[in-house]
Amino acid sequence: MANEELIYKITRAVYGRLGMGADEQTVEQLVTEVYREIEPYLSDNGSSPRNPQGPMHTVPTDSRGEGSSDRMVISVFGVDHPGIVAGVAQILAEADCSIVDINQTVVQGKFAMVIIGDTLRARESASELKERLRREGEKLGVRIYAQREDLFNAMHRI
Amino acid sequence: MEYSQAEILQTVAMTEMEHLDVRTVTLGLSLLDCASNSMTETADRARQKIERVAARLVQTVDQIGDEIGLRIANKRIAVTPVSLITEGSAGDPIQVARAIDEAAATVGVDFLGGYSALVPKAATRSETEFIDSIAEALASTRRLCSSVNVATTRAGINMDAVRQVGRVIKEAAERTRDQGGLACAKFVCFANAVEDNPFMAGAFHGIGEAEAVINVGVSGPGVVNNALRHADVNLPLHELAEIIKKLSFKLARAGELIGREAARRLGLPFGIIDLSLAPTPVPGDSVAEIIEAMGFERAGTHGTTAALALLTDAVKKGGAMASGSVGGMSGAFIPVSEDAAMIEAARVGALSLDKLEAWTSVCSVGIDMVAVPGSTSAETISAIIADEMAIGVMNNKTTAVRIIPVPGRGVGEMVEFGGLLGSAPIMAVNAFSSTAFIRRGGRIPAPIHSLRN
Repeated sequence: MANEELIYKITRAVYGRLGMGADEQTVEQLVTEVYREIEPYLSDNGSSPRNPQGPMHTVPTDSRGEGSSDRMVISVFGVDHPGIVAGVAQILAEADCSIVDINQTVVQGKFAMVIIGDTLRARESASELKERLRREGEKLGVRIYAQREDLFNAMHRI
Repeated sequence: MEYSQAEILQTVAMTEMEHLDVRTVTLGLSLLDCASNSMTETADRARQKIERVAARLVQTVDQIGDEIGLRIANKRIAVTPVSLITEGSAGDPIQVARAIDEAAATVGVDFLGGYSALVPKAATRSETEFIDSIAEALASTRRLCSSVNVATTRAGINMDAVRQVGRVIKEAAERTRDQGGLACAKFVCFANAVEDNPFMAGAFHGIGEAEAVINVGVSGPGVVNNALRHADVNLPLHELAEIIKKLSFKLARAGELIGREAARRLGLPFGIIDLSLAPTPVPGDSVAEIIEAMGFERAGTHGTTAALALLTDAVKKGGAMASGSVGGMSGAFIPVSEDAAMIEAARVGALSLDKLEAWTSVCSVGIDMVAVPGSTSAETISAIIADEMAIGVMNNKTTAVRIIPVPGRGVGEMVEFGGLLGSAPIMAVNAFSSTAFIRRGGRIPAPIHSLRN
């Protein structure tokens, strides 16, 4: 099976260089070529080559492709003002949740952010974390929703 | 990102704005081992078994809903048809009704279904007495739901039972006169009842089922309604069906996730997911509005049977693709009092009892939560039931009647049941008598299933 995490990282790097407006087909071609080049160097089980950052915590990927129940998708919507990212990130940091992925945009003053957080080592239960995020949302004047990643996987992946 | 922003937004919009929820997680529980020769003993055993097996149900399910981020509206229990466990017990089956109602309160579920009898061909003496006890059982309990299966495609229609049930409904209404006949809202009369239905008031744990099982009822009319309202007004119907199918797939997948997780944490097998679109009184969360969004001024007018057929079929197709465990009713529910736009359609005269009956030939499940004048005779109610049973028997499908003859009220008045049961406008019934037909009793033979026309 192809290493989805790696392909994803390559795709992100390609977009990073070409800009988000890049032609989808070109990106796909580039990613395929790069992946083919490095494929022979991957270890037998198809996982990434040695982690360059050493034995740091790696995100567990569910081999059945059902999404992870240890990850949370946190969506934040509202009117843009400084400090929203910091406020949400602060709560995650305090709860010992690492951020796996983050995507944030502002369109015509409207703020939208999606964070995928890893709750495997979280100090708080999902309910406590959600409650803290909700209260922070009220303070920041934005709506914050937190849902388990496997819900998105169930609904949007066959 | 592993999911596009559009995908994430769609899920958040569904759960936060379009009222997508899991309508019910229902624990199906066998009480067959509770039977004894004393009614008191049977009642005690049933109470203890429910309290033991369902002890963690509500807490566990709430926790899952909170973590996953999908509201789970109701937690319920369905038990073995009680008439089967009281058959050999000496005493009044009301004792069991009260005991299991108390157990439901103890474990914190809002409804417990299964004060039921299965008499599609004929009834034993004990079953006949049991059916007579239903009115008092419902009037003297809060969470108990009851059903009687009076017809199947294989056995035909037990018209003696249909006649008896008409009287039971009148008595149940009279016993709860000061609550608008509320007891009738907790009673369903079935043709081809399903054994794994998680939805109330008709849920019971069939005898072909496991010791205990988790079944899930997903809903989401608000989601479908919203999508159809945003679709191009000139979009052809097969493309509307395609939109519904895709949404139904997503709803079913979300429901199955919840069901499997609940089953795992409770240490029970996962049974089925029921894909029915079940409306709530919340504006927008309405099956009638979905129909109207397809291009009608009001639900109930000409063409709406066709629209409902399209909707029901598309929901089933999407769900069947999404999950290998689809069961229960799986269609679209049309409970008048629980659907704001249906109430309005009935109020302005667009929706009649006759049209509701026509709808039930293409959707699950039947004449549901319909209020009729208190002056309606038991025979007329039996006749309404007989019509509905005939549709089910001839078309090999489940049909049901949940009807409330509201004591002391007439056509056009409203009756309020509160909560999820909503409020209903009292609808007109045909004023001409069916009494002589109903009084014949006997049985309508099972249909021939060749020469189909």
